[in-house]
Amino acid sequence: MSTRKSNKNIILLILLLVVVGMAVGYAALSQALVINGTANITAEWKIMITDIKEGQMSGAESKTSPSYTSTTATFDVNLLYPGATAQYVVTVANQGSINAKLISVDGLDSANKAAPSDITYSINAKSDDTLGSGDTKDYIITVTWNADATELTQTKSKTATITLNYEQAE
Amino acid sequence: MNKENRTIILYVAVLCIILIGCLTLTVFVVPSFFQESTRIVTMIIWIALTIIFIPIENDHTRFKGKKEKIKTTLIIVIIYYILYFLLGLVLGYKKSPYGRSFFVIIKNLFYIVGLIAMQDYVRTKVMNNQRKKLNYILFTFIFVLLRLDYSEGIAVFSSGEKIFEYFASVIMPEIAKGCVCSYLAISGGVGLVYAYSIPVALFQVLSPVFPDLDWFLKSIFDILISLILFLYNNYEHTIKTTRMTRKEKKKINPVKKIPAIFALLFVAAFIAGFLPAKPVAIMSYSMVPTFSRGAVVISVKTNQKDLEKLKVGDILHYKSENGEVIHRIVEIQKDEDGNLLFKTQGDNNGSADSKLVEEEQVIRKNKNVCAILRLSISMV
Repeated sequence: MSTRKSNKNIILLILLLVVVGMAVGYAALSQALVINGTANITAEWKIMITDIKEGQMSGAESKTSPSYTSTTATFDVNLLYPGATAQYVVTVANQGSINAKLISVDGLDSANKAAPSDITYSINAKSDDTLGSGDTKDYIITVTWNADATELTQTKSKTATITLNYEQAE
Repeated sequence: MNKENRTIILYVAVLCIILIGCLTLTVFVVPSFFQESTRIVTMIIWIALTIIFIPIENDHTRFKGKKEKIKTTLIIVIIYYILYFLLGLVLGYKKSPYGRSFFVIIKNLFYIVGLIAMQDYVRTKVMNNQRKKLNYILFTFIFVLLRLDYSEGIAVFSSGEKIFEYFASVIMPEIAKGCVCSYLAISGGVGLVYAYSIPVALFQVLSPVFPDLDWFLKSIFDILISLILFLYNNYEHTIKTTRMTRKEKKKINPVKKIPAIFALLFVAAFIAGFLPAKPVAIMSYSMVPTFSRGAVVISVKTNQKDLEKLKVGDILHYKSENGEVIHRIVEIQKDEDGNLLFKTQGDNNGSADSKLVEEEQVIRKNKNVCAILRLSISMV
């Protein structure tokens, strides 16, 4: 019986060392890990998209009605000439009980750098924007065809995936 | 149970009703107003319950082999989380929503770990003052109700799929956790329950990332750990409380159940789509008469070579904006860059689907073989 007890102590010690090792490994290699968005591990955390609608449109028309799910908002727009802009208002709600803050807006730079560069996206979201429990916030996404663009590019469409990363606020 | 304890249990029952009422109010009546304050109200009620229960003595205070059971539980929980965390290397990780500043961590430790510690303390006291099996079941059920996530509110009942998801991802794991916590409380006291619940709560609060598991796999893992904990603790309990020969002990050793656990994992991996084929339920009438609504088909994964071999008449399983679709290919086109585009149509639909399916939307190719493997299960 005592051998069994000491075996358990040894196993426990080894496992604790493995946990410490994994924590150290994570700290060292966290940059290399693939991290996709924020985990929905708690019922208290519920940041979701609740609406998308057209905003101001100038020289632009929606190809299909904008649509949304709880985590994505989709629109498909035709820009008719250089200088045309389309705006879409996406409503984000914090339906959990934890106050949240926006920590980063990803995907905007890479989308704007991609061809055709004359079509650019922008969003009025800033890091550290807070979204309290029960609050909603409207973000305006603007798509613009550069007014100075002189030639029609070969690629006529441009897709962007913009990610809003939230974290618990203090 | 003495008269004094009975009176206290009555007070507790009243407080539990208030607590459930408060949670119901939060979800169904004025969600946005109560969300922040419910947290504080909940904490206050649990602090009150814990204080009420401190003077209550357990009816049976000696737990045989408690230390061994605690060690076994800790070993299982740590192994579980090591494996769980390593799964992320295959599936990717997701960032924790919890803040990482010192103040936020302390706050979360108080609100999340503290709450669980108080709940399990009260659970242990309640459970160890019962004698009837029915009471064990009743109080386990009450604690399951108290820990359930009601935040989805009536949205849970919006469709059959939602009800199934809520049942499988929330209710079932919570029942499994509730049962195992109650069992641990009875067989090893509060220390044994804490050996399970506190590391789990700490992991939730302190881990900066979590494996990117879907709800199905997550719930399988939650149920599995409860099952393994029960098997091992029950084994420890039985050999400590019953006179048994070495042969008898060997006979009930949970190690013997490992093949069954692996079989369960294999089934879970198959259903979750980690194997080259996975079952998919047909949820609409669009493919009648090939697939009736409620049929389960086996969908086979594709690679680029398979995609190129697809022809008109094959059945495609793809992702659309509205979810996963299984429709037949009626035309194959190519875009300017040479990528394949599929025009699809349900066998029972009068016209083709409005949008062409792009290569990256294709999940799996549904060959004719699925018609043979089709099961007649009425799911909905």
